[in-house]
Amino acid sequence: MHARMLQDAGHQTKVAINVSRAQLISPKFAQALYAALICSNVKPELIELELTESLFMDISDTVQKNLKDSIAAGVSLAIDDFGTGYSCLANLKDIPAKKLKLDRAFVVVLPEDKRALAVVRAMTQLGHELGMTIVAEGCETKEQIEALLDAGVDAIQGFYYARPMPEETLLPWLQSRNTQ
Amino acid sequence: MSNTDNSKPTEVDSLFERSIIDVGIPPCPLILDRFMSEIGKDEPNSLRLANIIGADVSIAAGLIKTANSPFFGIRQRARSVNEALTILGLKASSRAVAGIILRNSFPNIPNLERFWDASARIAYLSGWLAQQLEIRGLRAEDAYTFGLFRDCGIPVLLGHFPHYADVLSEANRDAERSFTKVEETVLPTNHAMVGCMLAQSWWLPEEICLAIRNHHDLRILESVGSELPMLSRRLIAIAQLAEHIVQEQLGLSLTQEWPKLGDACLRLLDISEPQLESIFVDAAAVINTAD
Repeated sequence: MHARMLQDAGHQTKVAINVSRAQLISPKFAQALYAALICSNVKPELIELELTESLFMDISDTVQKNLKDSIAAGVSLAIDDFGTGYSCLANLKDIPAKKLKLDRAFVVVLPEDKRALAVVRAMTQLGHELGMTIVAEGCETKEQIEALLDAGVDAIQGFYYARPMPEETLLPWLQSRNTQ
Repeated sequence: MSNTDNSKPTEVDSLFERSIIDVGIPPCPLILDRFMSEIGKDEPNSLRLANIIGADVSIAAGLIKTANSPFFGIRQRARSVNEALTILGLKASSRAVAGIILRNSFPNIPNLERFWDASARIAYLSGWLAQQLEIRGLRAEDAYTFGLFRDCGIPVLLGHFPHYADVLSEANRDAERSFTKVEETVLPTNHAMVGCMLAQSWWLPEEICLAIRNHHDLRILESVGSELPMLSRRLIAIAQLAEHIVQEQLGLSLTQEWPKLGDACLRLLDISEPQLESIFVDAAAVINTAD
């Protein structure tokens, strides 16, 4: 519904939706997704489903099917908080996600922690090879952003740009950002 | 209904219009005509206005959604059109309804006559049945709300998939498979799931949303345990019984749902065969006065 509001206001802004494990293992997941897309009348390209890597501890056939159906519905997938949980590379290979979001744990110690930076660089390269865009979460300083961009990260998310905000302030914020 | 509720008329008007458009279901023209002729009178009758508004899926949903919007910041959510009217005020609501009728910016979906007619009848009779049966925890207003919105996914799918009318007639005729199974052979979803999502977007209570989502599912209806709240099951049962009575009275056997779900519904409502017969007799009089 938020995506619809943004779309109506003329913003082709993606809206990310967190998916819980209970939702992802439900055999009716795809039906619910299609129903939500139909009711909200929003373009599926504007919807991104965020999955945390703990969801992938076991990828059952149902989960596989739900992920495939989601992509068939036109939405895209992103892996959230990557790098601190199970981080199973075999799963990473199998999940048809377009975006990999690196956990903020790697970001907050930058730029001082060179070892963290090495891991970020390696994960970024791996993600790129798998055809994913890499997003770093939780950036708060200019120095962190410089280090991350230098490591090849594609996009930055965090308080440095904007704190979480309610709907009423989001539209004016997007407006001012687009006209700058 | 008090006349002292015009606190924020313009916001309510635009919120309401927005809600109706979001609902995505056109209001019934016949009900709109009735509404306009009542409101055009020198002294419109409040009760009659409320009843007219409450018989239309689109307007009722728009009012409930408006009343439940964060703008009003009311903790207790409206679960019926009457509660929505209490929150918004009949006067402000009527003005908003008249405004959107005049602007006439509804989606154009053909062949909704049967949907409008069935929803209003089933809602009315469901409310009446709930009063007659006096089942603990089952309020007549909830039964009315559920009966009105049970099939609200249908017009949305009709507007979205050009061939849905054919799917619908096939599902109506199928005596073996569940209604939603038939839909799912052709569509990626079904009208019960779409209706549930809509009802959630109007902030209707979860029991009503779940009832909408599962109202063709015999397995869940009969399952033991907590898969579906008892209130949801009974709402499903009462509306199904209402549909059965309406179809019998009008001599139209349009669906196969009663043969598939009827026994389970009677068990949920604890109704015996002789009791059912007397309900039929009493209901006949009610249906005739409602027209």
